[in-house]
Amino acid sequence: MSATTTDHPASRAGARPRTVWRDIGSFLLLACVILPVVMFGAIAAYGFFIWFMQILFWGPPT
Amino acid sequence: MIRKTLRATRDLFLKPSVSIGLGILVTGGFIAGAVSWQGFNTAMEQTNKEEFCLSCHTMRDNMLPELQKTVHWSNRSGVRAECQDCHVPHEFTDKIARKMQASREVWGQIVGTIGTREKFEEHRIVLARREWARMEANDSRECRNCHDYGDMDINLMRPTSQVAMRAAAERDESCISCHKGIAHHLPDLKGSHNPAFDTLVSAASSTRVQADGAYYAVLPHKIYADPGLTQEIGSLEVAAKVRMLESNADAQRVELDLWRKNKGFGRVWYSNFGLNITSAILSKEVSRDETLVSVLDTREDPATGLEWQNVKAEVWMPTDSLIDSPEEIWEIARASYNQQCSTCHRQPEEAHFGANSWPAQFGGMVGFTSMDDDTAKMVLKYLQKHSSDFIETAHGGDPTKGVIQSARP
Repeated sequence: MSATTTDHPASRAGARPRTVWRDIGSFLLLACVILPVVMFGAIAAYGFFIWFMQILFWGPPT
Repeated sequence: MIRKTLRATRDLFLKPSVSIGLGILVTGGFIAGAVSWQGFNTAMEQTNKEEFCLSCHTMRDNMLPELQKTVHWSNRSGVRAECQDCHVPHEFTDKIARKMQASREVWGQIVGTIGTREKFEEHRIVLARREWARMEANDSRECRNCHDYGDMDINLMRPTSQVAMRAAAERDESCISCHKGIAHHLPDLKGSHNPAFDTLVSAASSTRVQADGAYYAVLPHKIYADPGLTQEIGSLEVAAKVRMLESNADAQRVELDLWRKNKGFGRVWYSNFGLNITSAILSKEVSRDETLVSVLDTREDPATGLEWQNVKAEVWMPTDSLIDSPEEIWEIARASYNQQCSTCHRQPEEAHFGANSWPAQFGGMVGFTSMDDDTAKMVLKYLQKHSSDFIETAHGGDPTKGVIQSARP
């Protein structure tokens, strides 16, 4: 992290507006795309896990 | 490339924002979380609707018209069961697992596994068994979301239903045990396949036959007049006893030593004198052919006045079709009998009836079970072979045993 902080865009003068847009972009990417996809994926993985366990060991739910 | 993505991901998560305030970030994240969760729930709800199920043509064309003819679609009280009420578990975990299982159904829709009515009918037994197993395991929970033994006024039912329902309520019987096919047609069980037969078939393929040994057919088998197995002359029933004469790679010659009624063509051959336990059925062209069939003995059955003949024939049949003891067959039959018949009533003891009364008793009831043809035949044979004619019990110890039949269908 120390290496990245030295060349962080914010440390350069005049780069501030670009950083704002970058941060907003990252935020939107995380909040609207990545995390919803991860949430959906995790729930799907959970469902598949339960299903496979049902096929292999547990049998249908009681 | 991978390292770059990793680094970008790390930065995305770990690098603090320098220009957006923490409060704004948290608020934004909070809102995005709420919206995502709501979106997820909406998606769950949307995929839990009848319209969604019916958007696939296999459901609309096959399941809907069948359901529409039942009381679960229209009734005087206006309460209706929709697809998801019966077919989707209501608890979160089971529901999610079921939704993921639907990936199989989506796949089936894409490749068209049940794309036509014919394919669907062919496949119905598989689908039905899956659903029955699910409902049996969860004790018909989806039914019980609406129906409850405690709230039923059994006195309002038809008298015939009252008997069954009282007993079922007492045992807290799972609804699906008796009420299969209540919302959709029952699968055509003819020609369907009982998985228990697989163990018999594999037992048969590992049985080493020896000349002069006694063996039993594991499944119904065709019999032939020639070693090339080209001239079909009839069929052998399950558990029919044969004596091995010779065997080569594909075919074996066996001797049938059975009884028949000396009437008509005498095509149906029975295992014992005077008892209607079918063991083989010959085609009428050969059943009176003296080059094939030899008559060893002739006796009159005093109960019917019919003449019975002890007949013998040497026939060819495919290999890997015999086992050396019928016990394995009886075990499967016994399990089917106990399981299928006891769901609605206490099944009678095998020896409660004679071998000649069982066919009528069994034939009247088998329609209420989910036995396929072969299983039904096997169970009937099991019952006959363990009837009062063969087994000494409280019912069967009568003086007429083994001489004549006391009860005839």
